[in-house]
Amino acid sequence: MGRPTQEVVRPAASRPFFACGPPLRFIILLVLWAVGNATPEHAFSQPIAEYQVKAALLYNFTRFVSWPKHLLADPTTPVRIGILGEDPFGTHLEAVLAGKTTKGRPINLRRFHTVQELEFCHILFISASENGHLAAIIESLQNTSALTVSEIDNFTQLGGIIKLGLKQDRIQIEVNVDAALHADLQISSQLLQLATIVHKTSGREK
Amino acid sequence: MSKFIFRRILQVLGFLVAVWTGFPATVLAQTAPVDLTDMSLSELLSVKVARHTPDSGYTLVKEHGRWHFRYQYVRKEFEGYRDGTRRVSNEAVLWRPGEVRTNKNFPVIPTKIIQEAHVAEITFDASDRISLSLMIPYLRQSTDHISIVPGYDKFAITSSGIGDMSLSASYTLWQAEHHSFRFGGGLSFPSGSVHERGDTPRASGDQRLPYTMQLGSGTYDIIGHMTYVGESSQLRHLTWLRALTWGGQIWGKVRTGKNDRNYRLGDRLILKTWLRAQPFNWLAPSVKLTLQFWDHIHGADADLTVPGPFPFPAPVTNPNFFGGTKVNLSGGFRLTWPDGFLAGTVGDILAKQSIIFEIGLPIYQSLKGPQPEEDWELGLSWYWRF
Repeated sequence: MGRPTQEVVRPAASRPFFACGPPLRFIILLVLWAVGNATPEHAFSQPIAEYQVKAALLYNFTRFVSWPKHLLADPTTPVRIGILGEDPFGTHLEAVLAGKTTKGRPINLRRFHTVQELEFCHILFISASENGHLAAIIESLQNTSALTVSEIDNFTQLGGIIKLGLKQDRIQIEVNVDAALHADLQISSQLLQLATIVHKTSGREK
Repeated sequence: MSKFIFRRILQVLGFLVAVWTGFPATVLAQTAPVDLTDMSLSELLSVKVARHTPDSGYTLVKEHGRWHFRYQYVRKEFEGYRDGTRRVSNEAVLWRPGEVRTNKNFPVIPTKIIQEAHVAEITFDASDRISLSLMIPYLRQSTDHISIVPGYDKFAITSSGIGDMSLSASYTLWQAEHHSFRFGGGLSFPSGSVHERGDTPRASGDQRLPYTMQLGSGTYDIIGHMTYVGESSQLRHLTWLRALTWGGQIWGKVRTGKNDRNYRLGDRLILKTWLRAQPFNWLAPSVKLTLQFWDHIHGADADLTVPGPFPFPAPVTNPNFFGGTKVNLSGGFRLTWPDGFLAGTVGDILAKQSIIFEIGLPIYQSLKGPQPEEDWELGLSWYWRF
């Protein structure tokens, strides 16, 4: 006697995913794929390289800081970002700035080995390698509208404008608002809300 | 394979492809080409960053989900003897017929001991603060001897194999921007042999080799450590330095019970302090000072003794002639692939690796003995975080 073929029908609640009909299966897969791709790109489960994030912050500063009009009078004038001293960014800064514009302006990146080589930059990142002569650098920038940024300890207390610090593996921003005011820079409240505010002006007092 | 199973496999594969391709690339690989400039300021400031300073075991920041692999080669050579801090010549330790036999001279003595270890260590950062490590050593040892036994006036014995493996965990108790303090503990397993045998003058054929030639402890041992690491990348008076790292560690191993040869090795306490400078982003020279205390062997392997008033045929068979105090001064350097030197995947992989070379000399030894004294040690490590 032949053995009858038997289809085991499970109750719907315990039916595995693979046992559901083709249309439902397709919809579930589509939802899974969409949910996966809809996850925000910044939902990082692993840390990102420190200088990759700092490079992105430098770029962001071009959007949240306003310079005196005469420095950007021509709409085609590029925004200049300079690095003074040893460049800690590696390839990250080039990668972040590649093909980018800010408020419709191109961005130029310059590197200076010494303070004597310095030319005006809208944003000047002062490397930790320049810690030994920071006071002289701040002094030389006294009457410019350069947004100075550095990781050097006490940078803002010494008259620098933005310090990028690190706490609990996250970057912290410290802004010396008086130094920014002295440099005739307007810093967006969006940036100031996220920053620690410092009022000392030792290096930039009029 | 039935058609049913084949279809199920295809469905499972389809499911996996959907889920995996659905995952954001950044979850699967940190180096995915994500444009961070699309992120808002607050998002950038809430992103967890991987500190720039490349690490090599003395790391400040643990990264959740990260694996570390380290291969280490260590070579130590011992030549000559010390009794306390006093140097003792081979001739004084070797007993010859006609001389007065004491418990400090022997008819057989090692003249040179070479210990080599190939250590593989894999570490997983289970969270920002907790790391788990598995260490597997492979040991190779050889000893040259002289003796008064005819036919064995000069001979060598060797042993090799897996040593005691250990599992350990460490926890970062405190972490600030430039400082961290960590402690940890673990267990060493008796995977190394205490039954190594070889041809010695004690009798004909193979006999049990002395304690120094065994590969393991034969006991479950408890390991504990506390480590402080400090780092500065902003040196006002040493501006030519990119970074300076310093630290200290207390490390101890407590033996438990006795092995099946009726002994246990001595407990060990190590205090280390080190200083590493980074003048270039690819080179970091370092100096390290290590102070070690270790105890003598408790119990004895009866197979290593001979009948008579002087049961120990060689100094390395006397369990009381182990232990002492030692201070080593080491110097070396770490080579790291310069960050950003080569873009792309290859550059990213190379940037996560480093090679450490270190050579150490004992500057103070006070040994329970006569005991073979250490001449020098060399370490070479390859470190990879991924």
